[in-house]
Amino acid sequence: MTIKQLHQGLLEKNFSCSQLCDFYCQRISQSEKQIGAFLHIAQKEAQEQAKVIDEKIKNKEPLGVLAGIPCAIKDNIMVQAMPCTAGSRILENYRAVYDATVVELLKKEGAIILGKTNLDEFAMGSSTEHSAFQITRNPHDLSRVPGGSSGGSAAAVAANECHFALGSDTGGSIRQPASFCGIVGLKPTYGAVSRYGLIAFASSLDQIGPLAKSVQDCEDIFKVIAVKDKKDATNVPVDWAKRQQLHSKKEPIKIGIAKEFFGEGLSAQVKDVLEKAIQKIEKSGMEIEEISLPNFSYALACYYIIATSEASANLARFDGIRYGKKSHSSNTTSHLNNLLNEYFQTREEGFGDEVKRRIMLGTFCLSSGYYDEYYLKAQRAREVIKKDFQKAFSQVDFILTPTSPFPAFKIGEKIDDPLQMYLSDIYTVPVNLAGLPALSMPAGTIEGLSVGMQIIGRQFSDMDILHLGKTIENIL
Amino acid sequence: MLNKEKVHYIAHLARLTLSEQEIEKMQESLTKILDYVAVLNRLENSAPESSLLESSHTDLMLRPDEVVAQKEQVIEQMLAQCPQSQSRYIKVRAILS
Repeated sequence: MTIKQLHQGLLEKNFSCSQLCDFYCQRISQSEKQIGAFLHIAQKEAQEQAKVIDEKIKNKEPLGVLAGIPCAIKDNIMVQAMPCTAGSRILENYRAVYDATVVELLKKEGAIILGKTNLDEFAMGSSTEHSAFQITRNPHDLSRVPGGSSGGSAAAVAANECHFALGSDTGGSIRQPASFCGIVGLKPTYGAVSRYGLIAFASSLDQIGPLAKSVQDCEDIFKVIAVKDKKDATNVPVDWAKRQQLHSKKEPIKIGIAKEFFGEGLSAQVKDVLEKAIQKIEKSGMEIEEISLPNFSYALACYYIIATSEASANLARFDGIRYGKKSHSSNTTSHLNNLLNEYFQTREEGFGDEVKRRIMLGTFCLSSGYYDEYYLKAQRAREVIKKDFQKAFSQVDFILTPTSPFPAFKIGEKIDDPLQMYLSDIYTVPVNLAGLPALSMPAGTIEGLSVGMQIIGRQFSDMDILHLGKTIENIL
Repeated sequence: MLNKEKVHYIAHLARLTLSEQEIEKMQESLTKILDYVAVLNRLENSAPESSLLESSHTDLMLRPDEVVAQKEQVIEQMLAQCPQSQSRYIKVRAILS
């Protein structure tokens, strides 16, 4: 059932919100031992909230479309009074003291929050294996990863442990797990959704977005969370209804296929699934045109310099002073060095390997003597990548690519080779660098493993992408 | 290959303590990654610097500089989570000798 259908069902009293909530709570208790999607389950609070919604339905009060719909929130997004660990030991015992703006918006609509989902530590990863607490398994094949970093959110939706979830995407962290778990995920245009209350990883790349089983569901969630927030200075007010152009478009939609995304590195099986999907789309009347994004080969390098540089700055706040873990090690040398030693020890004990690696990389790229060669060069590369997209969008309306070069890999397969893990993101990172919106939706399967297709659009064309996604859902 | 001294130096800047084993692993993985990102050297130096500060939204996202008092409950919750606090102060170790 879709959100709209559940909404109708609640209004028509076919079932109560408490029954719906209990259904998902039961699903969680049945599946969690195998899946491990949740870091925190708020069953009591959820059931109390469900009762409130049932009262409102009884009193025939007006209700938004998300009212009573159970969801899960990635554990790097603040939900007041619930733990917010970012998947890290350094925030092991931290409880959020405020709601993120997106959470406030969901609560205002009456959505029921079932709990917080697992992620790679500080959203740094592509498999959720870098969580300090537990691994999450892909519901379609328990020996495989759900993708990352929003692996918990994607797995929870795919396993029917919640109806929808929120994730965050810095280099593909919503789209790639959506692809691996066979669901839909949207990374909105940079600035469309408030980042207030999202634990920052890379501030010029991060965006919060929805994960759900259908494009329509993603649209319903997006409409609720993509609202101007004065608490986020990078958040832009957008009249979404005005922005939507596709409905009135008379000429056929032009979809670009960038040859660089179908070259070396792409699995032959994934290529095959995508090509079959593209053929069906073309048969439906849309125009397919070959385009080029000539600076594609710089994107991953550019991303890993910019993202890690920003991360090294954003994670400097974790020093054990105001919140989070503090080292109680008595290994201090002199009175003069006490505070400094505390920083060193706290961060040594609190951060995992991948986080340390990325902080080191970012620190290096920003350090004196290397700033020009690495960080400045990466900023230049970012500029040419943006211009490539601008040029492409003068020829076509959307760009269609595989979401990932391969389907979900086995747990443990890439954990020892960071660079191999980073290559998972090769098709998703250019989108974050350019600040564009992109949707990942199922395009087919390979031996039961889901293959996702990515639709990239112009800045603030989120509603158009969603509209196209719904059309393609009917075609495939 | 990044040498050990460089790795120690970066770790110090990043306020991270790394064991000898971690230093070696870090040497290896950072070198590999830096070798990969060297692909950016192929990019011409004439490429423009970032226009990140430019925006198609010319009205800056400013708001009035006004103090909004925090709720007492929130202050209490925040202080309760500080590893060390005293009355309404966050305690830190001595900075000056």
